[in-house]
Amino acid sequence: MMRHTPNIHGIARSQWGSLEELTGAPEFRNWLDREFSEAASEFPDPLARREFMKLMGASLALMGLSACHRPPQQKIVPYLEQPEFLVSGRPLFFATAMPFNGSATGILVESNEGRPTKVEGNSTHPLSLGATSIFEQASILTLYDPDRSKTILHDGQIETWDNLVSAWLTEQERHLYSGGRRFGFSSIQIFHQRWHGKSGNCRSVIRPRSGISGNRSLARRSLKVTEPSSINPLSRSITLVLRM
Amino acid sequence: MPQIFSPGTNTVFRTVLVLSPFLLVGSLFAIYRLNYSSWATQVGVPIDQPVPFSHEHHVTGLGIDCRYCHTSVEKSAFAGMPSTQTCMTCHSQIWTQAPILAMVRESLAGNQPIRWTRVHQLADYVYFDHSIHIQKGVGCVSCHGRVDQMPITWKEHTLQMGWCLDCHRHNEAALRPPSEVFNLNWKPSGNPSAEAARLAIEAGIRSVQEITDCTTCHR
Repeated sequence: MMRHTPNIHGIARSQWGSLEELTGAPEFRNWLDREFSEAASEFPDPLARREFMKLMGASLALMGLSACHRPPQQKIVPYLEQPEFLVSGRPLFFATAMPFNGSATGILVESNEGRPTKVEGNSTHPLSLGATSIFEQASILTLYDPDRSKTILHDGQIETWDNLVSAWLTEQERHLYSGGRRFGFSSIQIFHQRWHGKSGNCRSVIRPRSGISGNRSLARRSLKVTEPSSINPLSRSITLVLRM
Repeated sequence: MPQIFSPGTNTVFRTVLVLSPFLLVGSLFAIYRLNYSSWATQVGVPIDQPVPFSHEHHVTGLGIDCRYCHTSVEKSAFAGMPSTQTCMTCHSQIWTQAPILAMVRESLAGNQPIRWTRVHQLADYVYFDHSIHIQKGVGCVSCHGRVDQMPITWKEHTLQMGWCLDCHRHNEAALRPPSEVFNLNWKPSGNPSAEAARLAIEAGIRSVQEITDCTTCHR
């Protein structure tokens, strides 16, 4: 905009601040009329700032509504046939024995709806008189361990039971010369890797756990399976350990 | 530049200004009341079940005791739900071909348990034990209502914390002799308050302060 200010001679004179003002370019007129330059008050985006605030406000308000519903409907699944002595909601204790290093310790296993959760000593057992060692306490994880693999894994990939059996048979062939030495198949891998001791004569031991489906009886027959209690945990002679 | 607001806007603005506190308070009150509505609490809403089991028929009609099916109610936190075998003790003999019981028969034949829908559901952070309430002489009817008059089971009370506390504070109203705990028809006779005081002493009910402590239910 041109300003007309009187000069010392009293004659109005055009004053201008820039060449654009002098020529009266339309872009300059536009710039001058606007209080703020473009993009200063409004974000030059199809989703304008106010629109953005509206949407965010609405979604925040609606997010609170998601709390306005009832908890999901639960199911109660009773037994088909109520197990004897079991009182629903209370643990059941089983008296059992844990074979270890050629002997057995009498223990009580706490079981919640069929899941063993804790090992306690059996005070009527003449050997332990109610005491348990770390081995008995830790043995609960051989019964129920949520961290244990639920499928057969080979190098981190899921494998089938048939492939395991064929791989097992191949390995057994290779170890025939030693009569099964240096060949273990166990659920207690850490034991064999960490503990040092005399070299034992560890035969093939297979111990499928209940979660794995497959033809176990076939595997047992063909593999000359011995009881897991005959593994000497202090043996360091085993070079191959399959973990289940 | 045209005017955005017409002169009438002043009136609208003043009206909204005057009404807004009422709207705010009103909507907060509505949300508060929603918690107690039968929509939220499911009180009095019959819950669909896979088998349309009628407590009315089995309790009032046939006179079966609560504990025949809810076996662990005196011994455990959980009252217990009948196994399929429990249903079949009678239904292997009577109503053996009834279409309404087809699912029970299929459950037994197919080795698949019946999946009942839970009617009374407490939050996981509430420690509730059926057995202690039974042993102290709180009748089934105090919490579950007249189950013997329910063709399809519904929830009689909200089971909200305020409702629990009401009874823990004034437990005299819920106490009854141990022999009448499972009797849904029982009414106190004589002087109810004196009788309740005697029962509270006999059952060894702890002081109101103790049984309304937070850790009584939230452990």
